[in-house]
Amino acid sequence: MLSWFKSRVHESLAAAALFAAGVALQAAWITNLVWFRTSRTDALGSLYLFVATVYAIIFVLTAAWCRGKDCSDFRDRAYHFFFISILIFAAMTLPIVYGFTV
Amino acid sequence: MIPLDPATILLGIAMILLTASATVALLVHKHPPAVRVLIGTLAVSFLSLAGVVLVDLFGAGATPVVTDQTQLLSLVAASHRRLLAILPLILTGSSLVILNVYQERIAEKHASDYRNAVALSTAASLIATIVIAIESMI
Repeated sequence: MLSWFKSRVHESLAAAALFAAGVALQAAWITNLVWFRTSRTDALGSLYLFVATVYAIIFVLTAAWCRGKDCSDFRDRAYHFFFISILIFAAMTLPIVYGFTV
Repeated sequence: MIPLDPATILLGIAMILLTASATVALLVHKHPPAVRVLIGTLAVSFLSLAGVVLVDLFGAGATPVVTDQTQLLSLVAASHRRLLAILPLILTGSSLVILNVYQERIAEKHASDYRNAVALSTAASLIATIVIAIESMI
């Protein structure tokens, strides 16, 4: 019984980690852009804290939502969202991009 | 000569370990027990990067030397590298969660998305760390 329990894979946690990472990266670049446009200050300490909070909340909510469900469809979508989020974060955090003005 | 401060040393450690992790991440599919090595290297990289961020935020690093010609570029590079430091932190953290959940079963066929995510995360973290190191020299 114990060995059966140990051999189980809690896929909901892995899928939640992927999805939370994607959402946290999106939140990071959007928050940085909004702060730069509105106050023109780089409050990066607050940004780190905000991103960590977003990651924790999304991780817990997604893990709870996926718990006991078949994650095979969600896994594929979460991976693609994660991949796109990395690309968007890399592009949108370039100073020449977020500081662009006409 | 570049002055050695805690952040530089921690960044160097993170860069070396992420290079090792990127190599090991490619071997996990063929040799599943390598996951333990990968978890170890990624965990130390994560702690080193967290140390870099903490040192940078609390201002314990060396005072940057800027001249009039490079002042604006240095400020832009400092802002960008502090923003970019979020990327390897999130990616290595997520990889650690995935690897701790799957352990050696990450080599199984259904876990290919997670395996790819770990390899992608490690590669992106390494690239981000190299960019941070280059920008900290400006």
